[in-house]
Amino acid sequence: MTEIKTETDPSGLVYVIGTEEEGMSWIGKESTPVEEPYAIEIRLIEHFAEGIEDPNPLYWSDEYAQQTRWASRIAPWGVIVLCKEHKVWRPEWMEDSGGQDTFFCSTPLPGNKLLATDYEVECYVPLKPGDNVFINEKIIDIKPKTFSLGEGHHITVENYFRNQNGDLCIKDSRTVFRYR
Amino acid sequence: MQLPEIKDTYYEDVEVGDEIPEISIGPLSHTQFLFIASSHHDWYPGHHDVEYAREQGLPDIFMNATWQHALFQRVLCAWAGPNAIPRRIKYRMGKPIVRFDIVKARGVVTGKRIEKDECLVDLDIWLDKQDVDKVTKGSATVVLPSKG
Repeated sequence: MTEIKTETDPSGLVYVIGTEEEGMSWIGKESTPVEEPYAIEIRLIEHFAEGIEDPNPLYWSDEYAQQTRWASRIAPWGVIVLCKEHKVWRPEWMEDSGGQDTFFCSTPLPGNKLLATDYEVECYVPLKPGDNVFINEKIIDIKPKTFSLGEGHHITVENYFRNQNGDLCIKDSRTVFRYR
Repeated sequence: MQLPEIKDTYYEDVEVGDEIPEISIGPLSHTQFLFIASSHHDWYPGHHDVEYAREQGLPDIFMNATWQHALFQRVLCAWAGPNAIPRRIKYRMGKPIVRFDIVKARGVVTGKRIEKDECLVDLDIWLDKQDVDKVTKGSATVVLPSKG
């Protein structure tokens, strides 16, 4: 059995290290859906809006939101990042729940650093307080690239976010430069 | 507490070439960078560790992609009103947004179309900094309510 080589960056992200050929063979790979540990909550919506100083009353007032077509507050797309675990620290007795693996890190490639370059987000059904979020991802493309930061690869991954009813709420496509 | 009035932008009232009202945020403090790193669970050190960012060849700690998307969503929703939905937001990040920057989010309408009974408006969108224009640029499609 081949030993998997990994490297960890200062933020704790673990990269699987491999060759370009090994990485290319992962194009098209799709993960199984995983439920995020935290549901959409009003406090998450307010916390997210605070970070960009967004005064939109749709995020802050139930009374206002009830007068709109949504009949309740809705979550700006970015709130999905607040549904993940922090995992800066956990008690020793607690089992590692995994869950933070993304194809950006788990795809075998030479690079051991990441820099996001391109995003495309499509919203179909807004997420609301109480919704549970299920996510899976698919590798769309890997291309060799060289920038001033170093040599590496552009990895494009699509993420699919569904609610508890199976509705596709959000699809996003992220391209990240993974380099050394 | 006085709630703001509901103000919608209707498809019929939009014309190609319309500029949407810009929004501004900043100067961005170190505290704001730490707030974003913590609230987004994004502990990549380039977003909060100045020495690390500079060792990577970057001028300073820089805002993440989710924050930039949120700023685009903010400017689009402020213009479109609460009954619209930003269907698609696409952008490429160029020069980094770093500490003490003042950032403006802006947009201009580039097209209108009706597809599958939805009233869609296309826009070019971008972020300007105090000293550099269009550090991030892209496009968006917003579903607007109709008077019809």
